[in-house]
Amino acid sequence: WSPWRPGRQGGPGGPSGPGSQVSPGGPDSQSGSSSPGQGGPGTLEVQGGPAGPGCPRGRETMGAAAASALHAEMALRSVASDAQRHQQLAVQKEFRVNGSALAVRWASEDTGLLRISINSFLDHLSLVMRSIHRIWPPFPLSLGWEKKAET
Amino acid sequence: MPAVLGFEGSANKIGVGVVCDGKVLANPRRTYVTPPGTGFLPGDTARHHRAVILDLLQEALTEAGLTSQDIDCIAYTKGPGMGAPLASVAVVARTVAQLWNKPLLGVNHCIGHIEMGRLITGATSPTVLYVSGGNTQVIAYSEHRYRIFGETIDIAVGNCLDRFARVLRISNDPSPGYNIEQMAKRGKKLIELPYTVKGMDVSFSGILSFIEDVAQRLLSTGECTPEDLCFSLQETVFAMLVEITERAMAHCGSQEALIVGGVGCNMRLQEMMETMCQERGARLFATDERFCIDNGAMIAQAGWEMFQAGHRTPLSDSGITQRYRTDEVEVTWRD
Repeated sequence: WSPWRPGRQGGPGGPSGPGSQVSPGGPDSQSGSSSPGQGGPGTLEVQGGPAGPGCPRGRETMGAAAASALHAEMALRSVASDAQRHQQLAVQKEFRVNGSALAVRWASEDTGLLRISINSFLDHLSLVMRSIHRIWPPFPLSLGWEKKAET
Repeated sequence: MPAVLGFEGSANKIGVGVVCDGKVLANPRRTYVTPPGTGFLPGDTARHHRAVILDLLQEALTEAGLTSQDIDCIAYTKGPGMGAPLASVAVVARTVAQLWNKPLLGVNHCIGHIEMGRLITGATSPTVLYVSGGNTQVIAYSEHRYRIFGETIDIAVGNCLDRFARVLRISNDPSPGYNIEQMAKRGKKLIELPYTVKGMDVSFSGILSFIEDVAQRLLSTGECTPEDLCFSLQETVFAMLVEITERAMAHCGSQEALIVGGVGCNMRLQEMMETMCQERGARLFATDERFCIDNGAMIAQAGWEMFQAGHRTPLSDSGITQRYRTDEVEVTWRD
């Protein structure tokens, strides 16, 4: 069991739709049609944002669906605290939780920094996932590390 | 009797410690060691920490004989240090705090060293020489702050030693400073190096540049051995540290000196400091490698003090910071 499962746009196990490419958005990227979380539980959706007048060079939106809204909120609070400082720097990041889906939106003039920021986010999200998987559930209180190790 | 779990990972050591009422219940640690001639980079170091931190957490709780319900607070290193490793460890601390529904505490790494040094040695109000790969400060407590009386104006003394080790391609296992110390014991000739004390402060970047320039020439001409260079560098930089510590002790009228930080494990430094203290009629305190080198228990201990004093770090304010001055923290747990 894993609280998070990657997938493709369009629903669990569904085919990939237009705009679902895992790459930093650029001037020529096409917008996807669905917002994060609409693919259902267990889907990871990526959309490239359209470029237009006044838009930053690179924009990326990524969503990940957790097994519960609680996990999505936990992930948000775990990874967002350090990201908030970056709002003053070259990469702007916005986090949003919709039910059990965590959505992240990046905007940057520099696609290199955009890539670094996305990779860092994925590293930290993976760490949160592994932490939840190792430690959850903490209750009932009689279940500790010892019991967890036995199961 | 609160028990505090502490996470430390500001540099290449990652540790998870458990402290309860002045007792260290667990303190496992791992070190990210790079090949000779190289240093550790933030991204690689963070990757190492992410790979081992959950195992360390389990190890710490097992060693302490505790479960999640026995822990009262989660402490972590807020800074200073390297950004990527700090952030990776903080992510786990936040996640654990939420999963176990425990309060979170961001701890200043330097204060972690000081509080662990005070706990282990029993020093009451010492002049502290904090020396490591990332920091070099002379600190004394006054009116709810750990005041910095003197410090390096460029690189830390440990950084100077570590980067010199790369020049000679000395092994980084277990640490370059330790291996320099062992080689220095076999040194016989003192090579004159720049001596840069500037009032209460010190400078090491010029010494490093100088020794990096002359090392190959001196070795190739047979004028000295690598052991002589290690010996000479230690004698020079440690004498500078002793001078500024003594100056601070004279200024404060202090009769106690405490060495903390990874470079504080060096027995030659302890020997030189002991000589100075004896001449002044003062006492020297130092810890062993379990607590000198970065470790989780020191964060847990500082966190314990802060927790008892009512400090809490909201999740919204739990970001890490690479620059975090020792005197930024209000030390409310001391008179």
